[in-house]
Amino acid sequence: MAAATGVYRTTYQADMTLRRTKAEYVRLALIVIALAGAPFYLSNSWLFVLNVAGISVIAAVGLNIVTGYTGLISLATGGFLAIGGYTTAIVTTRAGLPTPLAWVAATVLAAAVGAVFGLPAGRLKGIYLAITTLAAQYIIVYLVRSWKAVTGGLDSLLVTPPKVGGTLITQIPEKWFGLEGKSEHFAWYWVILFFATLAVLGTVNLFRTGLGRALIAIRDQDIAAEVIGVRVARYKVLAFAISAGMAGFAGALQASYRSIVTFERYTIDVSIVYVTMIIIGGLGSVSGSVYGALFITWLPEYIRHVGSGIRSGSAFGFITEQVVPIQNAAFALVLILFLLVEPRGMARLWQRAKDYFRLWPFRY
Amino acid sequence: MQTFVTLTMNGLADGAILAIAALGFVVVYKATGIINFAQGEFLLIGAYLIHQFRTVWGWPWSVAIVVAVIVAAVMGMVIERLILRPLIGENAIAVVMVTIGLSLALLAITLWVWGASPFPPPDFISKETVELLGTNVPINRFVAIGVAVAVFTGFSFFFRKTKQGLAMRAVADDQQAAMAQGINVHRVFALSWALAAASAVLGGMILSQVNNAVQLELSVTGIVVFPVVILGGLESIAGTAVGGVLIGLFNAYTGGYLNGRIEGFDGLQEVVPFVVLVLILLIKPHGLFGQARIERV
Amino acid sequence: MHRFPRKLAVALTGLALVAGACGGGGGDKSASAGAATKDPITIGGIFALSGPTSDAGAPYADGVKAYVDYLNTQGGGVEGHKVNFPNQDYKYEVPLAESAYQTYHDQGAVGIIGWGTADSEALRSRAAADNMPFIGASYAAPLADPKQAPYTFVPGPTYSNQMRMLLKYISEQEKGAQTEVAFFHNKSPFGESPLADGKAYIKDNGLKMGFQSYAMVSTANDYVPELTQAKAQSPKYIIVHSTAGPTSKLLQNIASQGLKVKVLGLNYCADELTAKLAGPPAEGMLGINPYVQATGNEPELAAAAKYLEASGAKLADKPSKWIQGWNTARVYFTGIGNAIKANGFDKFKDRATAGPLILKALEEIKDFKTGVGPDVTFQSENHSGMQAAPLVKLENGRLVKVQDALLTF
Repeated sequence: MAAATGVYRTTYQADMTLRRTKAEYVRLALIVIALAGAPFYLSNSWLFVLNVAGISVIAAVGLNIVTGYTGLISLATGGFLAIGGYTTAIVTTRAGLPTPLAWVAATVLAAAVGAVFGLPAGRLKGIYLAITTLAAQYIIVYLVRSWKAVTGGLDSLLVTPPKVGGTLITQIPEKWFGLEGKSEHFAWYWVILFFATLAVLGTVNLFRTGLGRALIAIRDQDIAAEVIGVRVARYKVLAFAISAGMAGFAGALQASYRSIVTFERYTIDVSIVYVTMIIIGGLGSVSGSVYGALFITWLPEYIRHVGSGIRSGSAFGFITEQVVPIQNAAFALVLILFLLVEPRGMARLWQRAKDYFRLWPFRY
Repeated sequence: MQTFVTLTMNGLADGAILAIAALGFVVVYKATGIINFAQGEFLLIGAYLIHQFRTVWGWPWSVAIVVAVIVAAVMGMVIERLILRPLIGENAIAVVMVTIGLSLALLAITLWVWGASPFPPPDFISKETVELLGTNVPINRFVAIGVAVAVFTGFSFFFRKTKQGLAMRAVADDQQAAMAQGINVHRVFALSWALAAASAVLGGMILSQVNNAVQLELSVTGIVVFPVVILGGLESIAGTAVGGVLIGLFNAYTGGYLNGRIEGFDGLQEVVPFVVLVLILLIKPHGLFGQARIERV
Repeated sequence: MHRFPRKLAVALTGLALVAGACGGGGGDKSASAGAATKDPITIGGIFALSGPTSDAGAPYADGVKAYVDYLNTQGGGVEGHKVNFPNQDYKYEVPLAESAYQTYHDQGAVGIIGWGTADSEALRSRAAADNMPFIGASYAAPLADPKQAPYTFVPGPTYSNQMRMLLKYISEQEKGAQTEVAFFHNKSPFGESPLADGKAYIKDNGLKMGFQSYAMVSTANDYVPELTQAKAQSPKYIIVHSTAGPTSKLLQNIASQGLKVKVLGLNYCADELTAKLAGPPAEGMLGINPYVQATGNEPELAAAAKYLEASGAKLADKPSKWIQGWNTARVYFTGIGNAIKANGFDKFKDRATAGPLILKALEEIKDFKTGVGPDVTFQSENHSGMQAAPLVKLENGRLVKVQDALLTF
């Protein structure tokens, strides 16, 4: 148990449990209740934002595996999302195969490409590797835009929405607990929640295994890791593959959700946004990735709502003329200020808050 | 033959511009170890400052350039003091994130002050062309190369012969030892950011001239800077120049010979620099001129 | 070690987040003669005010917003009904366009005024599924085809048609002799849109033309390499399809390389902004643009002139994109007004009924006069508003029509 004065565990199992104290269980219950109740109370547009955030969680967690836990900076998330999205579009619409098959194909293909671009990780370090992933991002997006085999000469590809036994999953059958008439976002929320939970739990468990510890060792001291028997090059490629696969899956989900893919969804800006998410959220922390994904997805929407609430004639009228640059500047300012306050991210901020209450009235 | 000459001249001029743009990046990295994602926006602000002083307020061009350089240098120092100094010692990637935030902020400020509409470039660089080896080369290309050579020579001299330059190299090598020698590391950091911003003014001026517009899209060059510095190796000023020229030439030759030739693949010069970069990195993991670091466990 | 004062930073972050909440809900403009007074309808606006294409997107948005404001204060609304026009900048990023669309959808919008290829393409199937009539400024051919984009309207000639018109013009100028034509386009779906149709047109009509296409990538500082390659083709004509910035660069390069070619542009490059940026090399450039700058004397735009006078602006100073925005909004709201007049306002409270009615009303718009270009006519088989377009010229930095020369294909 985690008492105010330290931890005391007597079995290996107790050491590895995810939830230890009563407080942690209570918080978990609260989260579950909130997640279950959210779609009933949120308006459609906020539900949409939540869904987009949920998809981002999957890719963000994947990115944290390779960047936060293994220490390899990856700027290619946009490219892997693109692979996932375009594969889904091609498989469902051109080949006419069912959506789950498309999702599997998307994940596998993205993981394979991720492994290929992870091969240089054996030789390159730090910023050199980061720029190689940047190159991967540009090359993948270029191919996706220009290669006729992929685009079929079109600007955008349609994605056939997923069906279960012939009916769209977004059409809820009648008399189902009184849920008919809810929008598609409601139906998608549960699908996304399921996969996001799977991704989060899977990653948390990954880092309780030997593989996870090996990745952390590679981040901290890769030469020492090699010496004690961790096959560094191989695990680096594996980390890239896992991360790319998760990003590919997120891209596939997104494509099916929005039913249309265009390359503008997958530019370098998107990769940078994902890196922002895990840094703001906290590197090397799965819960941090979730916080980061939610925060970064929610923030521009919030600023937008605030911005459209300001009209001429109100107290802040002078801002109306220049709302757009101020919105952009506000976003940047929040990012910068956040990092100045807590460079180690939201996870650390939360940890400090918990410690404060746990240890009160003592300081440490 | 004529094609080759045109392409080469173009590639050299292009490379010169990239090299100036990359120079600020390398200066900051050498002195502080920070990867500055806001370099493209420094170029942008530089171009807009020259526009404001020269085109809007009508100052003589020498005055405009000098004042713009000073303003940019002050801006660089303010940025260093307010945003980067509090993050000394933090995780490197958090600092990268701050520079990304900085790039967004600078872009937003530029949009705020000057608006979204592009402006014609400053008019004191001639748009005339000159006949060279059978092809027409615009004079502004020569100006670009000339400015690049001047800037690089200046910086090389600065790093090799002056005390401040020596202090900067010392800090780049080992901060603790430099502090032990009595070098004021904070001042060196401030100076490096000031130099980066100041050189970006010149780079931005040339960039707006060649691009024929003072517009927000100029900051896109910030991304192209990365292959240049990686190619040249992050520690070497001379390497940056070589990297810039190489990438410029690659772009020119690809655009001139390969564009549209391969069926279904248009606009290859968008990716060729990156492909080349990856190939070179596989052979020389620290770039062409970088120093291989010896790592201790 | 100096740390950024923690409390100050926290306070600033909090302030930045909370700031607008107290400033929300501004006052409406006071009612005056011609003000709309009945129940409002909501239309959403998605514009590119920053980011790529914002140089054209910002004046377009101004024109649209000006029209809506005019409608609400002087124009009597849409059949007397006020227009709620929530609008925002999507920075040419598709996810932001989608979330904006979603917000308007939830606010009960019955239509959307959009902007570019990115948002129009991304939203076309959604708009169709939601019965949300969408009018925009991207003239890509798939968007004007009701089979591919049933609820999307394009108030101008499609890029493909513009290409065909230019090719026919060239062939007529050359009186059928063998000519080399080079096509320089922006490397993006926007730029590549007319390429296939252009090649097909040459083949199908047996035109004696050599046709090569060259992509202009966004990261290039200039296009001399592509021009050098084009020199091998020795083109007599260069057709350009891009926005003003890259086009002005291309014109400069053509001048500096001493190439003797005639340059023709599609509607996003035959623009006075190109003249402003390029200077003398742009003088005399021909092209297609259905929306030129107004002189201030057009009867159809008298309302615009009067509206602008109130704030001291002159219609003749407004960029061609502003005129395009104004007219796009004008034709859209006329269609909505017609639908309300024909069917009664009750049906417009719900998008499921309003959408198809607005769709039908828009498709019935014929010979709508814009004052600066050809009339807009929509049909149920073709949502592109113009089948012919004026030949325009850049003269003294302004965009003018070449004596009513109307191009067809």
